[in-house]
Amino acid sequence: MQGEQDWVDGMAEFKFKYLKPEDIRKLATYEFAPKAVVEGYLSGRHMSRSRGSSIEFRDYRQYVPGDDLALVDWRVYARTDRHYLRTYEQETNMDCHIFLDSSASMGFGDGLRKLEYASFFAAALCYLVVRNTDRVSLQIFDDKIRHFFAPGSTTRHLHNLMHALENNEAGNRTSIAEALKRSYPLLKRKGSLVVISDFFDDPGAIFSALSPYIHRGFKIHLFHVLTPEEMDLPDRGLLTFVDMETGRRIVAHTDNLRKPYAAAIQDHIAGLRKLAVRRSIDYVVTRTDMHYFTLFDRLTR
Amino acid sequence: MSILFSNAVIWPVAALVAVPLLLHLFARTKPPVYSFSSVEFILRIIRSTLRMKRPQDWLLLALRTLLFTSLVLVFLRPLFFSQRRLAGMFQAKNVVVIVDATASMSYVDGAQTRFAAACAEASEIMAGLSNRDTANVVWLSSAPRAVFPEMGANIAYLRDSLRRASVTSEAGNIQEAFDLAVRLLSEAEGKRELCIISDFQKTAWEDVSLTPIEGLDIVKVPVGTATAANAALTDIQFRPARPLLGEEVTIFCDVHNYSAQPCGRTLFLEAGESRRSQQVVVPPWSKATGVFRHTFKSPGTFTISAALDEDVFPGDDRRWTCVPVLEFMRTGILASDTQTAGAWRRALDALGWARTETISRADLDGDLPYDILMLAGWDGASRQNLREKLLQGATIVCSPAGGVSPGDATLSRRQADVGALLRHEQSSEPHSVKIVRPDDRIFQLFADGDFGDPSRGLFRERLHLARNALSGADVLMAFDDGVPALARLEQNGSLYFWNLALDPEFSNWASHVEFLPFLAELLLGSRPSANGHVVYTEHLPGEPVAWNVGRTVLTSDMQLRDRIGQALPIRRGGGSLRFASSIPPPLGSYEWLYRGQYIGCSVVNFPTIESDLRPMDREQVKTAGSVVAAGGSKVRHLRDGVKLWPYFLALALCLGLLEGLALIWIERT
Repeated sequence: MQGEQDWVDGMAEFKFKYLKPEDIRKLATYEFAPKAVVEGYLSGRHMSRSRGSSIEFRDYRQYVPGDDLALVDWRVYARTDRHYLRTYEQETNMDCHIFLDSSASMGFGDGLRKLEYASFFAAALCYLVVRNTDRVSLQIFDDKIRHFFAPGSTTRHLHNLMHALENNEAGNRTSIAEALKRSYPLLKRKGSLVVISDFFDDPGAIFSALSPYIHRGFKIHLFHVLTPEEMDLPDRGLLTFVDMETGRRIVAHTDNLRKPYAAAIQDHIAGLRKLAVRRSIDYVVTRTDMHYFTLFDRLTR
Repeated sequence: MSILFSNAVIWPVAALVAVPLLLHLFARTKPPVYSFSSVEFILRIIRSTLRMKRPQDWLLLALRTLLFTSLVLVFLRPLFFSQRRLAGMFQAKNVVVIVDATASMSYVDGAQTRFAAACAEASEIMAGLSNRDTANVVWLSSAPRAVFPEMGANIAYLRDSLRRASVTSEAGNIQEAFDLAVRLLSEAEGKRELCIISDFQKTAWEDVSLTPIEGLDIVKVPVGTATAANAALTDIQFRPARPLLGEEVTIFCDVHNYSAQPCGRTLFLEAGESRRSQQVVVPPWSKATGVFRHTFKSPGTFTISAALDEDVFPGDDRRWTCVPVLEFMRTGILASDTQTAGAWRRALDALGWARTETISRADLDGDLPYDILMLAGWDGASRQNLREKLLQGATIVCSPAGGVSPGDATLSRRQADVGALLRHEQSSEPHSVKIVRPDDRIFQLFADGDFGDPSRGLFRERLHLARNALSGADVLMAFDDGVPALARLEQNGSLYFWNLALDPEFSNWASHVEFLPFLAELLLGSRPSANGHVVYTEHLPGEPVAWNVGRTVLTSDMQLRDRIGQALPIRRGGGSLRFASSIPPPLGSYEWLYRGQYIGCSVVNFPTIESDLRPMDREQVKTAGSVVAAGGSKVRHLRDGVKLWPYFLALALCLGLLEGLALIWIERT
């Protein structure tokens, strides 16, 4: 425990834009432990499909020659006169793959921009994962993968991620599906897949791109980041709306748009949620005026 | 049709009309830029609502443009002119208003009379004149007159005159009123305008043609409605025209119905102390006659009046006339043929109602104050005087002497035909006579035979003349060979050509019992309507009642009284022998008195031309060079133009309201 505290204190000494010392102290009470089975090779605190030595009972199996006699459950032998071995869940380390949308639309936000909000959340998540000696990977994408950081669990790796987040700027158009498709071969081990985006993309295409991950057993978390202005259009009268991704200009009066826009964005969210539920994907909508710590409730135990 | 802008100096302000358009355009292109994460949803919304939004935008743009246009036009103060030239509108105006003051204008159309409406319209026209304009009012009546002798600038006085004016019972002299108005305007400088305000009664106006005058604008302003129902007492007559004392007089009262519905009215007759009534039903647009019979108990001239129960137009519901009741008929007999004259005198003296007087040949040149003249053995003397008496309505029975031409004997207009003189012829074989016209009025008494045969008699002497010698005369009796025995020529009065010998030596006709009733029937049936002496005069409203006294009298000896005995001022008029009322009296009957003695009466009856209240069609009212306006304000509009700014202001308000409603509607949809 003392060593972990020293590591935390050491991290707090660094001045990262998206990982502030006070946040680090607050994160001390959090622990990243997604309820998913992972396939790590280091003994850790995450459940694994590989049976091994741990305290977590899994199943009985019949004794075969060569098995460790220490694993024989003598109580069962006394009742049944047969040799059965107790098998346990093997605990291992976890890979967490973070997909951060850095498209131009993520640069929107009157106060805190969505990209900044997402970066804060991603930085904290990276910190939590690394602190638990799990591995974290980061992929910054817009319509393509702009930066890919392979999974790692070292402090240096964490520092690299922090610097990458700090130097990241909103880029081009959003294409989550494309980024997911391109990243799939890069992820060697399954684990948690955290996508942080505003999801201004075709929901069908997004979930179609997620299908291979689902089949491989990834635990997928979708964090839908929106600003309050996107949830509820401000009453600013007649405006020339300029699309941050396409540059398209549209003149419209917010009076005429507010109600239908709110309905449309809610329809979009409902569509995403419906598809997520159907695939057992965790889907969370968050606003930039809400603190990102609340999102850890969905990730930690 | 033209539009003039009174405040054209602010025309540049009209550029404001572009404001909503510019606003619309700028509002579409210059709103603040708002970088948004994704306009995909907005685009989708706009696409879905574009079908609704675009017409709404155009609607708003149209409303706002119209609103600004209306506001600009309010300040430009446009004037609208229809059917008028703008030339001369800035000159001084000279306006003469002819106001119809005839009897038909007293009809009450709704809440007020047509005349009151006409005065109000005229006052409205006057109200639009400025200080530099001149005006006058001409009253259309039987004797049209103007308020000012020439064009005047005292508009206030004219309006006061209009306020105080009253309608007359007269018929109008339209042409004279028009000429008077044209004369008033002829010397005026500037724009000249003549307004005629009338009900344009069809009976009075349909034959009137007002000649357009160059440079003179004529505007007609009709007042009154086209549905004016009226019943009128249009005539009152009696038979015989000069009844005798004790003789039954038949009085005919004509009632006209000037409406599309049959009407039942009560007709009253007042004759002396007698008052009677009867119901009269008159078909639509037709006439019915009420008949009364009355016998006067004393001789004299009696005023009788007939009246209808009053309706909405009471002026024409009463009429008066005078009945001269004779105690006897004065019969002057020229006794050049003593036998014939004696037979006539004996017969007439047997009648109670005839008083015979023998006149000499010299008397034929005199006044001849007789109801009937019987000329026995007339030789053609005083032919012209006798002809004048005949034309005045006298009855003359002429038994000419030989040597007179048939033309002279019938007092024809032509000179005597010397080659065909009448001559007596005698025959040994007596001639009988036959009735040629048995249906004639003088034979009616004998139709059933109770009074014998008036042709029963034999004649050995007669005047020789050809069968067709009496051209233009009705042969009533003829001899058996066709020679006329009794013929009648009617020219106002009746002239009987008498070829029936009464000398007992040559005829036995006078000794027959039928002779007396025949002669009586002949004279009664042909009694004169007048004998040259006027017993009453009838006048139209608007003209003074007058009387010829026949000799020089003092004005102070003459008196004119109405029915209730109130004296009216009189003056000498048209000569020393003629008196007339100083002012035209109202409808009614009036008595002329000389030194307190009754000498005659005058009646003033409603002009029948004014009873039919139907106006002319609007198209008929229009004549060349004239314009028809609906009212005084319309006349002002025609002259000064219609001020459009209040309408544009109202339009702007409406457009503003509409824009608000449109915005609410757009917001809700």
